Amino acid sequence: MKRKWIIITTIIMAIAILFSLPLAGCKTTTTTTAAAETTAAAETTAAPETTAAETTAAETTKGEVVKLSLLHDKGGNPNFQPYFEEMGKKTEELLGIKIEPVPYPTTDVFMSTVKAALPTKDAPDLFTWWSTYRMKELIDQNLLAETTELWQKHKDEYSKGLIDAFTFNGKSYGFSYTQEFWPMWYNKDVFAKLNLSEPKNWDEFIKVCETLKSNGITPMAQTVQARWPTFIMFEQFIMGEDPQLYNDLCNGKVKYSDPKVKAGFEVWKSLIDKGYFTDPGIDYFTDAPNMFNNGKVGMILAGTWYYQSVLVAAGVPEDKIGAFIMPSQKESAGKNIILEMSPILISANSKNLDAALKVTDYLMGPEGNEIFASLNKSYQSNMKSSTDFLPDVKKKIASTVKDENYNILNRYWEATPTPICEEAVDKFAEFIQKPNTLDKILSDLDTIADKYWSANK
Amino acid sequence: MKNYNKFTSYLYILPAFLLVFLLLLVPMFQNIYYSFFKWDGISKPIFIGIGNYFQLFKDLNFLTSFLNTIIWVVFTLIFPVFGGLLIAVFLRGIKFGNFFKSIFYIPITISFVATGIIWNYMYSREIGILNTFFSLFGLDKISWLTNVPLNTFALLITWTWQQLGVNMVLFLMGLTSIPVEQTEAAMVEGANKWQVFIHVIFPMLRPITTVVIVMATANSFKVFDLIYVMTRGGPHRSSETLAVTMFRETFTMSNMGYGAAISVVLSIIVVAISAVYLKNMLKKDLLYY
Repeated sequence: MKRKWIIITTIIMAIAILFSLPLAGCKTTTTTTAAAETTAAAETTAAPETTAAETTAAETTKGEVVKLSLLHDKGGNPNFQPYFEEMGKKTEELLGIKIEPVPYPTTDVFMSTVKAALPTKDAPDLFTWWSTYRMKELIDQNLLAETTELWQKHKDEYSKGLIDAFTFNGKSYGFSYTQEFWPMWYNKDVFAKLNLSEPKNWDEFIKVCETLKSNGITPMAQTVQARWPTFIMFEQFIMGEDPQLYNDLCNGKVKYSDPKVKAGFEVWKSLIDKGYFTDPGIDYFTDAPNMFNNGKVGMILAGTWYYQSVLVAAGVPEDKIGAFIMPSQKESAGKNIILEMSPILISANSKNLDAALKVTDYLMGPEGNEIFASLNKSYQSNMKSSTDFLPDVKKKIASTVKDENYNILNRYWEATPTPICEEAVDKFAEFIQKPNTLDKILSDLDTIADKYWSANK
Repeated sequence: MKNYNKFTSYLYILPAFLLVFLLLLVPMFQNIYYSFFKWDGISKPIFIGIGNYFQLFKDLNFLTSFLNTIIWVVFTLIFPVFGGLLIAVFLRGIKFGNFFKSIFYIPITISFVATGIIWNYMYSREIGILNTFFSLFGLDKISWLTNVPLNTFALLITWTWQQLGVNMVLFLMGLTSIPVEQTEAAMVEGANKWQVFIHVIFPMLRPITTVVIVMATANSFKVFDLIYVMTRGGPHRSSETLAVTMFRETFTMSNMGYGAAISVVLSIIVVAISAVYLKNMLKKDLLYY
């Protein structure tokens, strides 16, 4: 009798264990398959397409709305959730496909969640991501659905540069829902009070800083909080030395200890030493707009998204906000500005791939591409979309970039490989707090970059 | 009948066992397995033996993180544990005791994330209540969360604020279980309050003290959420503890194998310290009783 019960219990346990193993290991199995065999990945992509087409067709017959998940990391500050919700309402109304945004408050958690889900059948349909190197690592693993045909369809509506940025080895992925320049925001009231005007060159810029400083106003905001904002000034000063140097540095063709790179850091250091930056202990999203509004800080270098979702959201009156493009410290570097592209990508393993591509087609078009941009008052990527909604300050930035033929450079976060960027931002923080240790920091940065490039050249 | 009862007992523990097995043991062994691989979480894992463990000893950031963890453990034993004991002792039998107990206990009912956000605002350089208060006395503003090593201590103050309550409650439980006759007898014999506490109350609190210390040590080793919300281990990785380093390597840097190795080391340290401490304390308790 006892033996019988032991056997029954053992069988139950064995079944439980058998069920548990695939559960625990399912992610790894899918990952390995996707990574090892391109053919298998292509088949995986094809399979959901059929399923998605069938699902969409079946649901359309019933008159039901197809729901697409959209994971994004802009659920904290800035908060894009209401804009994505609005976008979802619009696509539901027009296409019968509802986008359901799922916000994540922090970037690391968002990235790890998306990366873990992409190889599985629970992959999000759509997700926001970053361009260039950050996108490439997903493409290399066959985790993204192609959008080549859609880019071909809309090719006359996009600049060549943007099309190229979304094309890897002749294939395109995702689309750009908005794009942002990185100008210098300034407090118009403070500038008016001190009789300052927008600087046109480096000398004028330094003059502005001196005047602000001598009147008890910290010229610029700078922070080491939240890690990533430390690259803001770095990219500005390297680009201001030589835009080609910036690109070469990002692509591993130049070392961080290169004398020209060091010269860029030294300009940055000289401004820190002169007290032209706030204490780096401030928060760029809570303290900085508050100080800007109260006239304690004169200028903040940030993406154009900062205008609506940070400054205006923090209560800064729109007529108080001006913007100019920060001049290069070296005249030979020419006129340069950082561009941040904002891609939405489609998972290869999306259960609703057909619907996801349909919605992508709409959002790439002139009308669809305007939805998010008009809500966030940011730049649409489609050249044929309306720009009427843009505030004057942003219209002016766009026209300056176009009319004065600015060099547009990719933001550091996307322009250099992720493993380098993630470690470099901590080194930039160290530099901001200890600018006298520049040589050691440059040497550390070389070690970080060399480690990556030696394994990935 | 006896066998039937045994089987029923096994059935009752089966759901709990399955939960622990599926959600703790399987991932735990999976984690140990992955610690021997170089893996970015997406591509095929590459077996590298104990390479990740060797890397730990060469990684200066790991050493900083390890030192910070030790600071956290020591600080936790001094302030939240000892502070909890003091509060429990002084709150016993005073007027409005329950009111004060509630005041000290409330913080533990708030999640770590919410606590982190609240204290982030309090520590804010520009709009924080602490700097606003200090500025009333003409003091300079302090960057609580970005000045090294002040940031680690600012985090520890927040941690103490939250952990005091739970330790206080545990010590109060212990104090309640001490027979009044023994303390009264000591006082009749001429012992003053301090002597009664040191020679009667404190030794009798040993079982609960053991529990509090083991729990507090384990909690301080694995603290993550508070640090992540408040500093993300920064600036320049200065406030990372082992749990934060593990998260960063695993999820930010996508070094799944290396992150797994850190978590294995962390687990071994926690289990080893708890086991040695418990073994010694249990021995003493047996001698005492």
